[in-house]
Amino acid sequence: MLKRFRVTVCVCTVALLVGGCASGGLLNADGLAFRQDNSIVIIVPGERELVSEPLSVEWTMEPTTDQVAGFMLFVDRGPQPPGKTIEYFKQDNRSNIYLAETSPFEIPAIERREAVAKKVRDQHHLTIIAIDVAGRRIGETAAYVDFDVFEEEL
Amino acid sequence: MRSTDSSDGADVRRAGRRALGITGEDGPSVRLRDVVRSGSGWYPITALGALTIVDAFQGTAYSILGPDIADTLGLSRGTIAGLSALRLLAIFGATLPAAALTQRKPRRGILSVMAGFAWVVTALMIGISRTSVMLGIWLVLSGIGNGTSQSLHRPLVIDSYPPTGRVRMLTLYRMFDQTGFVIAPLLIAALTLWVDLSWRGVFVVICVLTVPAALYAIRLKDPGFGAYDDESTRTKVVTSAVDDMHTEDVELGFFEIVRRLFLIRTVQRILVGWAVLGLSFVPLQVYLSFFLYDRWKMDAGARAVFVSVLPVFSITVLLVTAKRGEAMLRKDPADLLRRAAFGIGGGALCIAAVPLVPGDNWRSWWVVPMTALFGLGSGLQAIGFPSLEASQFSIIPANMRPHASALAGIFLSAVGGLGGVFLFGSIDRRFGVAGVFAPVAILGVVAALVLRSATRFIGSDLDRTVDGIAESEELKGQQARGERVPMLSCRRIDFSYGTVQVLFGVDFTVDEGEMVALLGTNGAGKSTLLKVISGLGLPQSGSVRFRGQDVTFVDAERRVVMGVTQIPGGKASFGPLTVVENLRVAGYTHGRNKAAVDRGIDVSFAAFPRLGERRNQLAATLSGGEQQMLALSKAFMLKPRLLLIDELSLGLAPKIVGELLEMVRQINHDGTAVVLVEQSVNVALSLVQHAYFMEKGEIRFDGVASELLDRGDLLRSVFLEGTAANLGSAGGLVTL
Repeated sequence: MLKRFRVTVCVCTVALLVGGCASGGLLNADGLAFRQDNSIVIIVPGERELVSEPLSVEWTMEPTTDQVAGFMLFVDRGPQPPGKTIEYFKQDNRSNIYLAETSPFEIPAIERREAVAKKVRDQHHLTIIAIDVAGRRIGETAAYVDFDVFEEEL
Repeated sequence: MRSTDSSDGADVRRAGRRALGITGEDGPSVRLRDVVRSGSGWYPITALGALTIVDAFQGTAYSILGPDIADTLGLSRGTIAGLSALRLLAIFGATLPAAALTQRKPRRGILSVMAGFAWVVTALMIGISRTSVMLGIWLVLSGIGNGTSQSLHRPLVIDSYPPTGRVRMLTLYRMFDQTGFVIAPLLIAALTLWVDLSWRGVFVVICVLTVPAALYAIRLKDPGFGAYDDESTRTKVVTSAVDDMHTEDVELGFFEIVRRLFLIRTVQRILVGWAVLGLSFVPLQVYLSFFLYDRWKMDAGARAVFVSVLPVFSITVLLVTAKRGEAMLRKDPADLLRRAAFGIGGGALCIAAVPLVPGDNWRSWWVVPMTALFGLGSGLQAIGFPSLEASQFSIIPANMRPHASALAGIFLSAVGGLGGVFLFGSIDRRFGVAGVFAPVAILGVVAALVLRSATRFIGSDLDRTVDGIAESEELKGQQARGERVPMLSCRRIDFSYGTVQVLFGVDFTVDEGEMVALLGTNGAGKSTLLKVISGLGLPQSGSVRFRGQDVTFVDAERRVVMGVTQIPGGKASFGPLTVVENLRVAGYTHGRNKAAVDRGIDVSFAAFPRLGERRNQLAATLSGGEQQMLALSKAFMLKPRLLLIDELSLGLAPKIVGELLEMVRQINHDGTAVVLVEQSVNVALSLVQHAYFMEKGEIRFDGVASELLDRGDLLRSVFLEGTAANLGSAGGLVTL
């Protein structure tokens, strides 16, 4: 009885793994990055750097390919999934998204997050992705950094 | 049922406690090696340990790698947090169903193994998810596996080893659990920083690592419920050989078990304690990261190291204190509860003191005392968990321990945790992240005081567990010896409405086919006792056995099916329904057997022709006597083995009372045992041979009915009340 159970569990697990891989795309793993893709590296601002406005952002991309037509910068929000354009977001939900052809790029102002009493740093998150000529996100490549904006003590 | 005299009872309790590993002595503990050897060997604890270690991987990976997942899949942080909440919901949602799956059949081993293999699949599938929907589905399945292990692992540990090593085995399991939380963040840091894997790669590695753990655990077997305690107690408390005798007890349903657990006073306090602790314990896990980030400038790597160092303190403290905990449980479980309270309260005070440590950068030396203080607090709190679990499991029947384990998790994380998220959120907004440490101290101390208050009850709750087992064995012995077993046996019933206790140690017995009277003044507790017998009220202590089966916590509707029917005083019919509809409602338990219902209605109308004439009349428009006839017709519909009649004659004319009593006599003559609650002594005693007299929640007389007539001291009060009632309602004096 127990032996039969063990065999059943093992068989079911293998079946689920194979089925899952097939449907989930592991057998056709194009576009799934299992290693970190550090092709985009953000140089400025540094991690948890205290910045002022306007915010200057610098990054590099190695290696560059012809496919890369530009970059999209997202402040305090996530980017679109791979293969999608900005159309992925509704028209009225495209704030804090910036399109840049090359580095560096200047973000004029950072929208304040929740005002917190006794806090002098306002923490933000910046994500950069590469896009192709049609504006589609290229692969799962993304670089991000956390930075702080100085605020007057409330 | 033969009553047990106090010295016998004390001996039985001592023997039962000893079988549960509670000897009352403070001697040296049995060596762990011997505990393991006399149990199921090292395999169960190591297999469960391996599972609990890999269990920590997925949750930890998701919380650490959340930002990466968000950026890859194009999800907002809110979505990541929402999916995390969904996983938590799955964990809590799965705990009680997992317990329910095992309550009738011990299959905790199989379910634990299945959860292990499920993690193999979910880890891989999370790693290759391309959309938030797929990610959510696999996270939920992973959470279900996690919830299953939460409710089943610890009861399985308990049942795999003898009680002499209970605290140490639970501590060992806790150490495995903590080891998972040491390894998980370090593993993730290593895989991302040195091996350069993305979050997808990390989950694939977790999948690969889970495979050997699941394969290792595949031989896990369920040793059965209470193999080393409940069953051992049975053999210790039995006084005669009853090998071939087997009385099947009624199996409690899921809600009956949960309700029963809520009635155990120690469990009540412990659950409240978990909830109060959860208010600070759960959100602190989140706010700790912010605190380390804001105040100590720790980046993700430093935070991961810090978080993985804390369980090392817990493991060390657990290692040092496990043996002492065992000795405490052996001497007195209340001592162990006190220790748990001390650990939780003391730990909370240490953690609350952390913001007082100077320093604002983790590269300064101040990080050492800060870590030490936090570690000490975590360590002290870690003592509390196995101590509480061991204490709680000692007083809970083995097949209900998964439910108790599930409830503990729900109260700690769902009830307390969710409340704490709101509480800490508002404190953070007002006072900053360091401010959230202040309520940790307050809530920790309150939780400790609540837990400490449970020490008052654990002794009596333990005795109750032993009494239940002893009673069951005594009954088997009686049956084996061919002795008479009463149809209904209530023993030492205590019942309270809220904080007002109305029944005090009531013993009440009815034999097969017997008709007994239950007499007493207003407020004596007669109707309450009927409620306890019929299942409309559940006692705080004591037992109700019907035909040898323990039905103390069985639902009222199941008791009706078993043959117990109550006719409540003055409100036994539904006014807005017609007579026939009332009878059909009474025949509900016949289910689809329409013929049986129709037959019952015919019998009822034959017994009470006046009801037949008013078959389509609303019950509310019937006279008082007719309404009682309708109520009594339930007996014809259900043909119970035991009929409980509350105040049949109240407010009725003597002629009607006579008619009804004649029908009661007939019902009894046909084989139904009857308990007649009456204030009118002469009405009751004209029918019965055996009478009980209650006063102020206690049985004051139990004997032959005619002897009660000689007890003027008892009857004076009820006679005067009965006289007044009769004068007021029936318009005539009924003399004794």
